[in-house]
Amino acid sequence: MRDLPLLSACALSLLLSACRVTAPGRAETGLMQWTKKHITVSGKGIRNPLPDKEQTVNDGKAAFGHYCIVCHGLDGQNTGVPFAANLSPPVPSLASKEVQSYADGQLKWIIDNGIAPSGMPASHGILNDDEMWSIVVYLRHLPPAGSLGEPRVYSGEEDGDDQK
Amino acid sequence: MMNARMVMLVALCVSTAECMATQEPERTIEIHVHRYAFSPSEITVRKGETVRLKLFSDDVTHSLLIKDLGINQTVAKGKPAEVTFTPRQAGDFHGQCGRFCGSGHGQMAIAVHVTGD
Repeated sequence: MRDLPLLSACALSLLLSACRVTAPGRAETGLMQWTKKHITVSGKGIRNPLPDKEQTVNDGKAAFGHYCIVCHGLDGQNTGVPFAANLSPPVPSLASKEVQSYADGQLKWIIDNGIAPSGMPASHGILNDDEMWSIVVYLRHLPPAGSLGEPRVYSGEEDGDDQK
Repeated sequence: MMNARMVMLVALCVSTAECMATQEPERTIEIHVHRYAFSPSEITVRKGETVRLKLFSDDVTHSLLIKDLGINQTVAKGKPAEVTFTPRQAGDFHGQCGRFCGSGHGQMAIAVHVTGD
């Protein structure tokens, strides 16, 4: 009897976790964004060791093109990604103010560790540090939305190379 | 006569420079690359020694990237690749796979130890 509240909470969370995917409301979105930016995402004070120059942008674009494009599109703005709007929360445009307002070190931390609750996975061990930092530089120099087309995996041309 | 001597002198200089530029490697080291490791994962060379690295991929396309030694050589399965280098500085140089190859790509590492004179 003493454990009833705990059991009820567990049952409720199980029920909620099994719910169908719906877009989060404005209040939930605002709360989660604030929490991530100010509490849970570390790395604010860590500087990018790579120089902000054309070669680094190209390196970042290449690393992004091998790995991140499946969810973020070639341009980092979800172009051609069919499920981007249906995830909960939806895949954000990486050119948005919400994403761009993270510090470089925070973006690296997110790539490295992933971020919950969202579909963003941890890339630790999948990408090396240089690749992650170069991706951060690429994120600061994203091309105009749609300018790179869509990932070939979604256009029926998956035999091609997505790096352009 | 003077002009002919000059031409010969220039030709000699050019051929000497070419010989120096295409210095024959003193040693060849074979490195096999596969998901998700280099084998061997450590090699030791001498400062000033010209070394040829012969790369073999045992599965998919990889690359050997050692920025501080100016090496970035792609190697595909069934197509061995070579890269020659002459380290000018002693120390430990760390390399990685520069071509995304799967879930353990970020863990692939190789160390080049360059010993002094």
